[in-house]
Amino acid sequence: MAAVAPTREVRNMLINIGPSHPAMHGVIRLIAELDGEKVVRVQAEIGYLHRAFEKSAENSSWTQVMPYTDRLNYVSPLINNFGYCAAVEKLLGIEITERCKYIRVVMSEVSRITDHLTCIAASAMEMGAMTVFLYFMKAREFLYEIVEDVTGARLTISYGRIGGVKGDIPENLGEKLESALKKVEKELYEVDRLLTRNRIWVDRTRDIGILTREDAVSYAVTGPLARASGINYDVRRAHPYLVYDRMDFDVPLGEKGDNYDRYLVRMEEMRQSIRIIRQAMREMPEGPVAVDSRGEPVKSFDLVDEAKMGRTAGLVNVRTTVEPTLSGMERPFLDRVMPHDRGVVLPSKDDTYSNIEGLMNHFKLIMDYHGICPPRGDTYFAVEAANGELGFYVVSDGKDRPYRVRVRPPCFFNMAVLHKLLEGYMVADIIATFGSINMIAGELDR
Amino acid sequence: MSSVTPESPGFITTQLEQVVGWARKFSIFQYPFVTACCGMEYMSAGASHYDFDRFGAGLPRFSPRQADVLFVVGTISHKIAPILRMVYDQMCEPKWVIAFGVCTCTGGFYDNYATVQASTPSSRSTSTFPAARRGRRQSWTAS
Repeated sequence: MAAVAPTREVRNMLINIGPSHPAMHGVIRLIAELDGEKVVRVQAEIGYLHRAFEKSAENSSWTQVMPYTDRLNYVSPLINNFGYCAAVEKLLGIEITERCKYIRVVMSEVSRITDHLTCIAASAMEMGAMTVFLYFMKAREFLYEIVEDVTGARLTISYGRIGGVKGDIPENLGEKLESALKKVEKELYEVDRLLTRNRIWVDRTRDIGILTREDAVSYAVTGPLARASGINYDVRRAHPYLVYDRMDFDVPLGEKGDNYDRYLVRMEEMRQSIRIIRQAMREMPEGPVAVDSRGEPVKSFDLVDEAKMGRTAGLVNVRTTVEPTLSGMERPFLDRVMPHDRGVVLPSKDDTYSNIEGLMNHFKLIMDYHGICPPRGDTYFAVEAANGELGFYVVSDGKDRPYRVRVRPPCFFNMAVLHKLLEGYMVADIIATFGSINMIAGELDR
Repeated sequence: MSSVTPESPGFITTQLEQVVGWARKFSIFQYPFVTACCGMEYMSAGASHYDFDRFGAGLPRFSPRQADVLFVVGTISHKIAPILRMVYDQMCEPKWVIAFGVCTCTGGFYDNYATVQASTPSSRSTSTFPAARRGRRQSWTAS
């Protein structure tokens, strides 16, 4: 009797990565089917950071949505702020001031740099380049200091306001910004020298995770991912908003759409952002400055006390000093950046503290059921966020709360195409490719 | 304590509990359970600029079995909560938990169906830093 060879069943192996995994920045779970070392199939499970942004927005007044937008893409919160503001302004039909447009451009680009820095830093660290991580985190801190100077906070800034921004930028921002940009440029140069021709880095990224042009289009991928695949689409160029049409910048494009191209595109975009910031700071107009102030500034507490006691006769047009978190909201500054629309814009702190009209105006905007009430209708507005087209679709039923705020998060589409980038490559490439996607759970899950 | 040389080895007397406590005090490994925005500030705190490694607190261990303190950094939704619990259960005693940021401590302004309103009862948090969303500096000094 012939011996029967024992049959061995060969099965693919399922491997689970995340949601708590050092390389899955944020919380995401990948279920990969492996044939040996080769990835056959990948499924991404999302939703671990679903914080009900859209539902929360329906329960807040139009202005109260702002802090929630900070936390969509928390690496570049300023862009989210301005995207949401722009959508609501479009609904209201407000034109923001020239100076404010420039401020928004500058701060958006600062945010874009912090985002790209974080993306490259994290993915380099995951591939063992710890130095790059430390250099870029250092560079990011220089920009965070600028953000802190302007907005009062580092990360969750809530700087945007419907109709403008929270307050004017500090007077000496130009010098500080320039010195920060110089330091960032130095770090960019150093990392360029460390990575771009580095044999290990090139081997890990070149021809890995290729996103074809066709896939990018059919999955509605935008941003650096699409541009690395050679699609010339940048919202700042295609549908210029704010003052991007006046800015002189290049849109870097890749050829292959592999990890290396995505790295190069992000590096170049940071340089272009620096270019835009310099240009915008140069061209930023002074804007109308209130000239009717007289006398010495009064401390805000004294002003409130005086007004409470009814001694308001001499308080018209008086100037006040405010605490640091409110700086930039005094009349001379606020007038520069906000349109004179009392139905939308909070009055300057000088008015709120000193006269009844200002106080009433303030409360009318702050109180429930009295705030900003855009006319019935809906609109969509998209800005170029760090990961691609960030769109806000807002619907108003004429009340002080949004009827619906729908976000088009760029990450969501980038994640949808992820399996195309991973299948057919090695298991070790999952980390390299996933890092180059720059998945931000906040905007992915909302 | 006299110097220890091969000629005169010397000795100290102590209690086991004390010497173990002393050893633990200076070798706490952290497990960063980073979910959301606070993670950005956690990265800043850990990286070159603010560098909490200089206090000897910088070594993250991504295996719960090797970690002593669990950093819960960021919003905990109902979907991630069981995983957090699993990570906590996998850690060896003695173990500590730090809830980092207001969303972790109380749910913060995410007062909705998706967010765990206080992830602390599920993981027996020992320290909370609820002011994280005001910025990293406050997040480390507030209590």
